[in-house]
Amino acid sequence: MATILIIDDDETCSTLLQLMLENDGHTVHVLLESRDAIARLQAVSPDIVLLDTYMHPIDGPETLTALRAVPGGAEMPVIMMSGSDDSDTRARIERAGANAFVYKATDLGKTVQEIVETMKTLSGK
Amino acid sequence: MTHENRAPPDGALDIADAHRELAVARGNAANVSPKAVDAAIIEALRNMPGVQGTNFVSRIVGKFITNARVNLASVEDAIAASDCSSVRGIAHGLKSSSGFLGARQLAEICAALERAALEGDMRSCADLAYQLYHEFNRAEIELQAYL
Repeated sequence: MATILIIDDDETCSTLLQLMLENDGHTVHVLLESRDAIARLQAVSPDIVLLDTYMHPIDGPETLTALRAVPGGAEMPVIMMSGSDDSDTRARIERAGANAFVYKATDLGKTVQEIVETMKTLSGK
Repeated sequence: MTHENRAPPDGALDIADAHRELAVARGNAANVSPKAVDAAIIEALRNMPGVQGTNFVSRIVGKFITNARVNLASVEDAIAASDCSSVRGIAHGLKSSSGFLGARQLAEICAALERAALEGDMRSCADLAYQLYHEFNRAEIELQAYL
Protein backbone atom coordinates (compact mmCIF):
# COMPACT_ATOMS: atom_id res chain seq x y z
CA MET A 1 0.00 0.00 0.00
CA ALA A 2 1.21 3.49 -0.80
CA THR A 3 1.45 6.87 0.87
CA ILE A 4 -0.29 9.29 -1.48
CA LEU A 5 -0.29 13.07 -1.59
CA ILE A 6 -3.31 14.55 -3.39
CA ILE A 7 -2.90 18.14 -4.54
CA ASP A 8 -6.27 19.42 -5.72
CA ASP A 9 -7.92 22.73 -4.86
CA ASP A 10 -11.41 21.23 -5.23
CA GLU A 11 -12.28 20.16 -1.70
CA THR A 12 -15.20 17.94 -2.70
CA CYS A 13 -13.15 15.98 -5.23
CA SER A 14 -10.06 15.66 -3.08
CA THR A 15 -12.01 14.55 0.00
CA LEU A 16 -13.92 11.92 -1.96
CA LEU A 17 -10.76 10.64 -3.62
CA GLN A 18 -9.09 10.49 -0.20
CA LEU A 19 -11.96 8.43 1.22
CA MET A 20 -11.96 5.99 -1.69
CA LEU A 21 -8.18 5.52 -1.70
CA GLU A 22 -8.05 5.10 2.08
CA ASN A 23 -10.68 2.40 1.72
CA ASP A 24 -8.37 0.76 -0.77
CA GLY A 25 -5.76 0.59 2.01
CA HIS A 26 -3.58 3.59 1.20
CA THR A 27 -2.42 6.41 3.46
CA VAL A 28 -3.65 9.64 1.92
CA HIS A 29 -2.73 13.27 2.56
CA VAL A 30 -4.63 16.12 0.92
CA LEU A 31 -3.30 19.54 0.01
CA LEU A 32 -5.80 22.14 -1.23
CA GLU A 33 -3.25 24.93 -1.80
CA SER A 34 -0.75 24.15 -4.54
CA ARG A 35 1.54 26.95 -3.32
CA ASP A 36 2.38 24.78 -0.27
CA ALA A 37 3.24 21.75 -2.40
CA ILE A 38 6.99 21.61 -1.79
CA ALA A 39 6.73 21.95 1.99
CA ARG A 40 4.06 19.26 2.15
CA LEU A 41 5.98 16.97 -0.19
CA GLN A 42 9.02 17.17 2.08
CA ALA A 43 6.92 16.69 5.22
CA VAL A 44 4.97 13.69 3.94
CA SER A 45 7.53 11.96 1.69
CA PRO A 46 4.83 10.29 -0.39
CA ASP A 47 5.31 7.29 -2.64
CA ILE A 48 3.23 9.01 -5.29
CA VAL A 49 1.60 12.39 -5.97
CA LEU A 50 -1.83 12.89 -7.52
CA LEU A 51 -1.80 16.37 -8.97
CA ASP A 52 -4.77 18.21 -10.42
CA THR A 53 -4.09 20.09 -13.65
CA TYR A 54 -6.30 23.16 -13.45
CA MET A 55 -5.80 24.97 -10.14
CA HIS A 56 -5.57 28.55 -8.95
CA PRO A 57 -3.38 30.49 -8.49
CA ILE A 58 -0.64 27.98 -9.37
CA ASP A 59 -1.76 25.31 -11.80
CA GLY A 60 -0.66 21.68 -11.99
CA PRO A 61 2.11 21.99 -14.60
CA GLU A 62 3.70 24.90 -12.70
CA THR A 63 3.46 22.96 -9.46
CA LEU A 64 5.05 19.93 -11.10
CA THR A 65 7.96 22.03 -12.40
CA ALA A 66 8.59 23.23 -8.84
CA LEU A 67 8.32 19.70 -7.42
CA ARG A 68 10.80 18.34 -9.96
CA ALA A 69 13.37 20.92 -8.89
CA VAL A 70 13.61 19.84 -5.23
CA PRO A 71 15.90 16.98 -4.12
CA GLY A 72 14.15 13.68 -4.86
CA GLY A 73 11.47 15.44 -6.85
CA ALA A 74 12.80 14.40 -10.23
CA GLU A 75 12.21 10.73 -9.41
CA MET A 76 8.85 11.21 -7.68
CA PRO A 77 6.03 9.41 -9.54
CA VAL A 78 3.39 12.01 -10.35
CA ILE A 79 -0.02 11.27 -11.82
CA MET A 80 -1.71 14.34 -13.20
CA MET A 81 -5.49 14.40 -13.15
CA SER A 82 -7.92 16.49 -15.12
CA GLY A 83 -11.62 16.66 -15.80
CA SER A 84 -10.69 17.40 -19.42
CA ASP A 85 -9.37 14.81 -21.78
CA ASP A 86 -8.70 17.01 -24.79
CA SER A 87 -5.46 17.10 -26.78
CA ASP A 88 -4.48 20.50 -25.35
CA THR A 89 -4.71 19.22 -21.78
CA ARG A 90 -2.80 16.03 -22.60
CA ALA A 91 -0.09 18.05 -24.35
CA ARG A 92 0.30 20.36 -21.32
CA ILE A 93 0.59 17.36 -19.03
CA GLU A 94 3.14 15.66 -21.25
CA ARG A 95 5.23 18.83 -21.50
CA ALA A 96 5.10 19.23 -17.72
CA GLY A 97 6.75 15.83 -17.29
CA ALA A 98 4.08 13.87 -15.46
CA ASN A 99 4.56 10.11 -15.27
CA ALA A 100 0.94 9.43 -16.14
CA PHE A 101 -2.41 11.05 -16.81
CA VAL A 102 -5.77 10.08 -15.33
CA TYR A 103 -9.01 11.49 -16.66
CA LYS A 104 -11.01 12.71 -13.67
CA ALA A 105 -14.33 11.55 -15.05
CA THR A 106 -17.62 12.46 -13.41
CA ASP A 107 -17.88 8.86 -12.19
CA LEU A 108 -15.98 8.65 -8.90
CA GLY A 109 -15.66 4.86 -8.91
CA LYS A 110 -14.19 4.74 -12.42
CA THR A 111 -11.78 7.55 -11.63
CA VAL A 112 -10.48 5.81 -8.52
CA GLN A 113 -10.18 2.52 -10.38
CA GLU A 114 -8.07 4.20 -13.04
CA ILE A 115 -5.89 5.87 -10.40
CA VAL A 116 -5.27 2.55 -8.63
CA GLU A 117 -4.45 0.77 -11.89
CA THR A 118 -2.10 3.57 -12.94
CA MET A 119 -0.34 3.45 -9.55
CA LYS A 120 0.17 -0.30 -9.97
CA THR A 121 1.61 0.23 -13.44
CA LEU A 122 3.99 2.92 -12.21
CA SER A 123 5.17 0.83 -9.27
CA GLY A 124 5.63 -2.22 -11.51
CA LYS A 125 3.23 -4.37 -9.47
CA MET B 1 -75.99 8.46 -40.72
CA THR B 2 -75.05 8.49 -37.09
CA HIS B 3 -71.88 7.44 -35.32
CA GLU B 4 -73.52 7.11 -31.94
CA ASN B 5 -72.88 3.81 -30.17
CA ARG B 6 -70.70 2.64 -33.01
CA ALA B 7 -68.14 0.18 -31.66
CA PRO B 8 -64.52 0.68 -32.74
CA PRO B 9 -63.06 -1.96 -35.02
CA ASP B 10 -61.40 -4.89 -33.30
CA GLY B 11 -58.01 -3.93 -31.90
CA ALA B 12 -58.59 -0.21 -32.37
CA LEU B 13 -58.98 2.34 -29.60
CA ASP B 14 -62.10 4.33 -29.28
CA ILE B 15 -61.19 7.94 -30.04
CA ALA B 16 -62.25 9.10 -26.58
CA ASP B 17 -60.08 6.43 -24.97
CA ALA B 18 -57.18 7.49 -27.15
CA HIS B 19 -57.57 11.10 -26.03
CA ARG B 20 -57.74 10.00 -22.41
CA GLU B 21 -54.56 7.93 -22.79
CA LEU B 22 -52.80 10.80 -24.50
CA ALA B 23 -53.79 13.18 -21.69
CA VAL B 24 -52.51 10.73 -19.07
CA ALA B 25 -49.24 10.29 -20.96
CA ARG B 26 -48.81 14.06 -21.22
CA GLY B 27 -49.58 14.45 -17.54
CA ASN B 28 -47.07 11.78 -16.63
CA ALA B 29 -44.41 13.37 -18.81
CA ALA B 30 -45.04 16.71 -17.13
CA ASN B 31 -44.98 15.26 -13.65
CA VAL B 32 -42.06 12.85 -14.03
CA SER B 33 -38.94 14.94 -13.93
CA PRO B 34 -35.65 13.10 -13.51
CA LYS B 35 -34.03 13.60 -10.14
CA ALA B 36 -31.23 16.13 -10.08
CA VAL B 37 -29.14 13.89 -7.84
CA ASP B 38 -28.69 10.15 -8.13
CA ALA B 39 -29.53 9.08 -4.58
CA ALA B 40 -27.80 5.73 -5.14
CA ILE B 41 -24.44 7.52 -5.39
CA ILE B 42 -24.97 9.27 -2.05
CA GLU B 43 -26.18 6.07 -0.41
CA ALA B 44 -23.14 4.20 -1.72
CA LEU B 45 -20.90 6.83 -0.13
CA ARG B 46 -22.82 6.64 3.12
CA ASN B 47 -22.45 2.87 3.23
CA MET B 48 -18.75 2.77 2.43
CA PRO B 49 -16.43 1.25 5.01
CA GLY B 50 -14.69 3.94 7.02
CA VAL B 51 -17.55 6.41 6.68
CA GLN B 52 -18.92 7.43 10.05
CA GLY B 53 -22.66 7.13 9.39
CA THR B 54 -24.20 10.23 7.93
CA ASN B 55 -21.57 12.65 9.26
CA PHE B 56 -19.18 12.30 6.35
CA VAL B 57 -21.92 12.62 3.73
CA SER B 58 -23.38 15.62 5.53
CA ARG B 59 -19.98 17.29 5.68
CA ILE B 60 -19.09 16.65 2.03
CA VAL B 61 -22.53 17.72 0.77
CA GLY B 62 -22.35 20.87 2.88
CA LYS B 63 -18.94 21.74 1.47
CA PHE B 64 -20.12 21.09 -2.06
CA ILE B 65 -23.14 23.36 -1.68
CA THR B 66 -21.08 26.15 -0.11
CA ASN B 67 -18.38 25.97 -2.77
CA ALA B 68 -20.90 25.69 -5.60
CA ARG B 69 -22.72 28.84 -4.44
CA VAL B 70 -19.44 30.73 -4.49
CA ASN B 71 -18.66 29.34 -7.94
CA LEU B 72 -22.05 30.32 -9.32
CA ALA B 73 -21.57 33.88 -8.13
CA SER B 74 -18.13 33.90 -9.71
CA VAL B 75 -19.53 32.62 -13.01
CA GLU B 76 -21.99 35.49 -13.06
CA ASP B 77 -19.19 38.00 -12.46
CA ALA B 78 -16.96 36.37 -15.07
CA ILE B 79 -19.70 36.43 -17.71
CA ALA B 80 -20.43 40.08 -16.95
CA ALA B 81 -16.73 40.77 -17.52
CA SER B 82 -16.59 38.53 -20.65
CA ASP B 83 -13.83 36.62 -18.88
CA CYS B 84 -13.93 33.31 -20.77
CA SER B 85 -10.88 31.90 -19.01
CA SER B 86 -12.47 32.26 -15.58
CA VAL B 87 -15.81 30.87 -16.78
CA ARG B 88 -14.00 27.85 -18.17
CA GLY B 89 -12.01 27.27 -14.99
CA ILE B 90 -15.02 27.50 -12.70
CA ALA B 91 -17.17 25.24 -14.89
CA HIS B 92 -14.31 22.76 -15.12
CA GLY B 93 -13.94 22.56 -11.35
CA LEU B 94 -17.64 22.25 -10.66
CA LYS B 95 -18.04 19.54 -13.30
CA SER B 96 -16.07 16.83 -11.50
CA SER B 97 -17.43 17.47 -8.02
CA SER B 98 -21.03 17.54 -9.32
CA GLY B 99 -20.52 14.25 -11.08
CA PHE B 100 -18.81 12.68 -8.07
CA LEU B 101 -21.91 13.46 -5.98
CA GLY B 102 -24.31 12.10 -8.57
CA ALA B 103 -25.58 15.45 -9.91
CA ARG B 104 -25.14 14.28 -13.49
CA GLN B 105 -27.24 16.88 -15.28
CA LEU B 106 -25.38 19.61 -13.41
CA ALA B 107 -22.08 18.06 -14.49
CA GLU B 108 -23.27 17.94 -18.11
CA ILE B 109 -24.23 21.62 -18.06
CA CYS B 110 -20.82 22.45 -16.58
CA ALA B 111 -19.16 20.51 -19.42
CA ALA B 112 -21.20 22.43 -22.00
CA LEU B 113 -20.37 25.73 -20.30
CA GLU B 114 -16.69 24.83 -20.25
CA ARG B 115 -16.79 24.12 -24.02
CA ALA B 116 -18.66 27.35 -24.77
CA ALA B 117 -16.13 29.34 -22.74
CA LEU B 118 -13.25 27.63 -24.52
CA GLU B 119 -14.80 28.68 -27.85
CA GLY B 120 -15.32 32.23 -26.56
CA ASP B 121 -19.06 31.98 -27.14
CA MET B 122 -20.31 34.36 -24.45
CA ARG B 123 -23.93 34.23 -25.60
CA SER B 124 -24.00 30.46 -25.06
CA CYS B 125 -22.14 30.93 -21.78
CA ALA B 126 -24.92 33.23 -20.56
CA ASP B 127 -27.62 30.76 -21.62
CA LEU B 128 -25.80 27.86 -20.00
CA ALA B 129 -25.15 29.84 -16.83
CA TYR B 130 -28.91 30.33 -16.52
CA GLN B 131 -29.40 26.57 -16.89
CA LEU B 132 -26.62 26.03 -14.37
CA TYR B 133 -28.38 28.16 -11.73
CA HIS B 134 -31.67 26.37 -12.37
CA GLU B 135 -30.12 22.90 -12.18
CA PHE B 136 -28.08 23.75 -9.12
CA ASN B 137 -31.24 24.92 -7.36
CA ARG B 138 -32.86 21.57 -8.14
CA ALA B 139 -29.80 19.67 -6.95
CA GLU B 140 -29.48 21.78 -3.81
CA ILE B 141 -33.07 21.05 -2.77
CA GLU B 142 -32.40 17.32 -3.05
CA LEU B 143 -28.98 17.53 -1.40
CA GLN B 144 -30.42 19.43 1.59
CA ALA B 145 -31.93 16.10 2.65
CA TYR B 146 -28.43 14.80 3.37
CA LEU B 147 -27.32 17.70 5.55
